[in-house]
Amino acid sequence: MTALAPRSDFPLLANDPALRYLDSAATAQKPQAVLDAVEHFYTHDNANPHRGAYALSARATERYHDARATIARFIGAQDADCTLFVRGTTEAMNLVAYGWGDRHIGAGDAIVVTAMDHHASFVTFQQLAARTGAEFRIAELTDDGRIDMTSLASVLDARVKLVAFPHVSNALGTINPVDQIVSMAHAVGAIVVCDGAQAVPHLSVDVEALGVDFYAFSGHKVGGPMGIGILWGRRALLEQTSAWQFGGDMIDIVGDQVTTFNSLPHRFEAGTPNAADAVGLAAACDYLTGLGMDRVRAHEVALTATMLESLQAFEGVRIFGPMNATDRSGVVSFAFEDVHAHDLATILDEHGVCVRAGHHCAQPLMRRLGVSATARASVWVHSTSEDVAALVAGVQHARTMFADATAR
Amino acid sequence: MPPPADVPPPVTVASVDIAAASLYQEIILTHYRSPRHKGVLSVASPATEHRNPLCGDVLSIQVLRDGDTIADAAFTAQACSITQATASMLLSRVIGGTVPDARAVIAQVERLIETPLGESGIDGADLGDLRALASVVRFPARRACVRLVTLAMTEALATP
Repeated sequence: MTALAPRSDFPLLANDPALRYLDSAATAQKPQAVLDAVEHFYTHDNANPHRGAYALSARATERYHDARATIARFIGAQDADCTLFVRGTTEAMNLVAYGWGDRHIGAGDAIVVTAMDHHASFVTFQQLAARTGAEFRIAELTDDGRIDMTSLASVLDARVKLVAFPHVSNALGTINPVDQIVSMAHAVGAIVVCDGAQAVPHLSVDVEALGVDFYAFSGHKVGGPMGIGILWGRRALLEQTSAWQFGGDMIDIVGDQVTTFNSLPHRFEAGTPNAADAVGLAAACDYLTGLGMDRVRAHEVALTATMLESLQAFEGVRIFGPMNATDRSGVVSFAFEDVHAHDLATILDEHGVCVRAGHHCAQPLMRRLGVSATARASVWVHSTSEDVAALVAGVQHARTMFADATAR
Repeated sequence: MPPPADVPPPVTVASVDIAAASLYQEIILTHYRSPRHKGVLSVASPATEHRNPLCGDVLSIQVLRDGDTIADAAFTAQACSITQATASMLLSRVIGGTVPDARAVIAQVERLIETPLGESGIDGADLGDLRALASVVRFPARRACVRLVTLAMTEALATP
């Protein structure tokens, strides 16, 4: 199967023809269009947005504003002012925890996460619970790596004020039933915080249709620059969210003793914004729109099915998450009894194949799976069946090497 | 059109065998296959547990002392081949010796994995099987796998 996007679109891949990059779930390679957009900003439009009265500053402000509108459109947000620029998903989760959580959650309340939450969500809301005296509850998983809806129902009651879960699991690839979780959470009066870091690069996302209250993702996983991301929130909730970082841009009137704050989105964007990377992220969204998210999805499903089928053929392999490619994103996490994930990743590296090995910032999940680490291969728009074949050849080599070693 | 000269040739299985084999040498695979001193000491003795927060691996070492001599030691691990082989080789080397001798061995191992091959000036004969770890210098991401063992052992030796 050929790539959906030509390798030549990605300078890093073009510069290293032998590289088999199967770690897009950790960070995506960058299309030329994104690098060009960032460079164009710095070479033609660079000034401090929202500050100067001169034309160049006005242009920088406009580019930043346009980037927000483009990204809002890409995720189906009708109100671009509710699409806040942050550093990434981690900062987005912290903004919700400190800005909304500290104000609305207290002793006697409860917070629910799932056993597949990334540390960015899991630890942030665990610490919110510790800070406020709220009870921290965890919805468990089924054996095939989905959120157990019976377990989720059992931890939901009127005390629950916030439910957090990933749209797509970073370690399992599971695509979660957002609508079902949203209706269960809303039925007990809780708000819903959805981690979209592993969804936005791979699925067509419409935050309004999903019904969630907050939705976060990282630009670098979408092919945009590192250090830029999005928190989208419903206006009514953002209006009840306290500013958590203070400084320039986010103020209205600064008195000697009292300060009033700016309107959305500026209230949550203190200091000089990362305008160039915002422009780069908008270019990444445009790049994916050009490819078509439906085609992106179809391409990844086909490659994932091949990965699942090929890896399943190895004796002693454990593949985590749903076994049906249509129920997961382009992520396959696996482990062997006799070959540790790091040994596997080192040997794959010698084959030019990049995979992630480790706990994937999901230690609570690893404990439940009964492993300290898994190997994780993930595909994106430039991936091909040759990439998958190189992965399978590398795994075969590792198996042979360690099978010789473990033959008693 | 031929590829530009600076593009490396595709990795062949033969070169992979050579490169990876230098990390996964027979000595290391043998210690991984049949680890020495893996388990729990029958005599009650405090265990020092160390984790690598980046990868999640866990190693625990027990040391039984008789004065300044290491009378016995054992390890348990949920870890990769490099960590398990290092623990097996290190304990094999230091049991029966003195605590200062064990500290000196640890210092040599740590220098070995940071120094380019052949430049450490370390007497390989003194290290025994541990000298196989010299290849780890070529795999910077795997030095932490060795250090998990040296850190745990250093702490175990500091415990009275």
